[in-house]
Amino acid sequence: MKLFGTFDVRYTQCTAIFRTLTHKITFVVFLLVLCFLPLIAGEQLLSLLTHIAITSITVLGLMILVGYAGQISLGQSAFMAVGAYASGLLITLCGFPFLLALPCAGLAGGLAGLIFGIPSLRLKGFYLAMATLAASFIIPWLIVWVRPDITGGVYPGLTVPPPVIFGFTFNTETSMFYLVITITLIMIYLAKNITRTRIGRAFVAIRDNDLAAEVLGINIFKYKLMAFFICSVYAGISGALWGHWQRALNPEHFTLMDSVWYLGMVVVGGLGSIMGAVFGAAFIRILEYFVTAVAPILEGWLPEGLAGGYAIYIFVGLGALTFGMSMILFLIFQPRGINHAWRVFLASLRLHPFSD
Amino acid sequence: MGKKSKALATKSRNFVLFLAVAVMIILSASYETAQAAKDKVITIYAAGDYSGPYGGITTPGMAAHRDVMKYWKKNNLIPGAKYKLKWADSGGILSRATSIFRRFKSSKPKPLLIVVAQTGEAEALRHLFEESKIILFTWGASAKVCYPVGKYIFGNMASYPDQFGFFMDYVSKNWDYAKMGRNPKVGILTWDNGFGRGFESDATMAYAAKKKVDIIKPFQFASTAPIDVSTQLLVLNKAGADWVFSSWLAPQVATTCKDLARLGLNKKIKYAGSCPTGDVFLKRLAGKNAEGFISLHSFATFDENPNALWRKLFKENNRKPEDMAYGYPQMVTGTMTILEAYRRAIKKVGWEGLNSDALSEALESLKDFDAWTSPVTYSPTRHSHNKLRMVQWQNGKLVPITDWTEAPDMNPK
Repeated sequence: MKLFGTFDVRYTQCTAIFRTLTHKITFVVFLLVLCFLPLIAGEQLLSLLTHIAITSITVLGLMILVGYAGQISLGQSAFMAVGAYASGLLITLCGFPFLLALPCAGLAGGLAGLIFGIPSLRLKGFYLAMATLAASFIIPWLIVWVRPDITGGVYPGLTVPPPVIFGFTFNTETSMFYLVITITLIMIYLAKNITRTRIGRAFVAIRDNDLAAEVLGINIFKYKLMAFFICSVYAGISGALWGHWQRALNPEHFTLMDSVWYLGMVVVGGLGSIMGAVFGAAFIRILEYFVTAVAPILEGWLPEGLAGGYAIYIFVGLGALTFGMSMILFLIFQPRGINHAWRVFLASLRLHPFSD
Repeated sequence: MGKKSKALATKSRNFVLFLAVAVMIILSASYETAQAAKDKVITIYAAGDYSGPYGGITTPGMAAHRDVMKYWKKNNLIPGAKYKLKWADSGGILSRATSIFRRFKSSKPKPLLIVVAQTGEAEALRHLFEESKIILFTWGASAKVCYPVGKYIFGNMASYPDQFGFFMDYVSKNWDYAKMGRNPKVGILTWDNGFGRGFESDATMAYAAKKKVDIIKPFQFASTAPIDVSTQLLVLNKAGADWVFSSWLAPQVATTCKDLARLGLNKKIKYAGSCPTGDVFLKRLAGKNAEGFISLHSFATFDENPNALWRKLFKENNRKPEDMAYGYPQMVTGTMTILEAYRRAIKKVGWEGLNSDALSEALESLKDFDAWTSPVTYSPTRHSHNKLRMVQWQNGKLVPITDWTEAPDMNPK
């Protein structure tokens, strides 16, 4: 919804990323805030934002697959592993520069996604979820057992160097923040563009009714695989950034539970919206932060002996409980996701005072 | 605008405002003043898996932290010091553990030492600890955590490789090579993760060969909470195993003990496990099936000396039966070790000069330090305990079958 008097007269206007001058100014201000944030923010906040940004890339890929193309994947975390190991190995073994290793990691993740996406041609829903679930077991198994001399297996794992671009080493929270945020913005821009093109429209058509889409002449085979490929490219790039941020990898970094949570982030953010992916990732990561930080504080406030010596057990469990309850309450009160709430909020601001 | 739309707009606005307020609260909660630096406060930071698979043994560790700190405060063992415990639960999720580490790291004042209660997390975070010059005091001393020996990396037990070396000594010593006419065979049944394979290194495998003990390959693995390990045991039996060795927790040991008994293999195959397997809860979990099970043990148990000071503290502080898990005696030693290192470091450099380097040197200076549940010795070349012993389940109790003995050093150097 736009301000009164602003009308779209062409399709390109309707789908433009920046539709008004206010949009452009807001974006520039947002960029400036990001640029200057490290000057005032502590490492704690920067690392949280870096974490959110890396997660956002993964969820963006999943959003394209789930939210736009209507497919499902429980292998996102495993595809991240492919990207992480690909980038780490290309740099340490082959001497690739980071700027070349990163797209290669995306490509490697994409190829893995392509393979596990093949069943999507015959399967749907839960059955497809089960097929992609296999990736969560097969890929870590391959990493651990096929060439542990190269991947490091479980022991000793793989040590990944910090990214180096034109001689500059990104080995601090601040430098990693700038690098990750820049790549995240690029990935958001690309994702937004994908959804505005013929490909994005084909995805939506397949999601809404694949039979009707086929009748319209959309090659379902091609587009479903393409959705898996794009989704996994995002996972690969995200995995590579994770690896370079963590500097050490073993398959325990990429578990099935993580894949499940990424799907949760898509739902929480709002299916079928690019910003929803970012909102979903931010919401879950902030909630995670909140829960781990607040439970010990609450436990500290409780007078000693009040819970009969079980306080610590109660508050340790409180983390998981809060997390689960938040998700349930969220789905009850905001089933269409944060992005929807955000849009209604913006609309109500624009229509103020008539919105009240 | 209709009533419905208005209600929706109001609801959404409230929701977005709620989110914004929540973010503000989090950010303000993360802001800490530097007041603690001026006070004489010793903060033990404890992070790890307290609610996930390891929660049963790690959470009692927090009770131990508190009980020991209370004792030190009551007896003013570090003059004027205040004690604080800051914990955070990762739930066994690595990304959450990373986030907790970074939050702790940027606390004011910067932490000198963080206790990490999960091997996988310690392995993943080791290099970040070294870069940040914060001491990683780990519950799980796997090969990957312990080696190469790092200035800021300390294990709160004998390292898993050292434990395995100790076990190889025991197997070799108790095997009649002349009579049997062959080497003893040890099958591995464990978790396929950092903790489960924490003993595995080139040095330990070479040591086994040197001791003329054959390790059956491939290793057998089981899921996080296996309800049946018959297949793995039958494979190991077919490969001629005389011993089965595991690195996991009491519930998994119980499953294995029961399956060994059910398959009638418990007379033929002896069963042993690394440090955390010797948990008093095994009695409840496996009953008589646990009889004869041997555990490499770095700490005193609840089946020994009820008059020991740490047992009195346990009682005085009304600790619950759940707190009797393995983690309690382990963290009695852990907290004693940390506080003694603080005491020595403060004595040497004062509160003002206190930093992780001074603390690391103080830890290295501990020689046979009586940490109530374990003797503790560190050196510049060995950052895990050098001594341990073996305990065996006999008549429903953990009975020491060796004295505290120096384990072979499996540092690959």
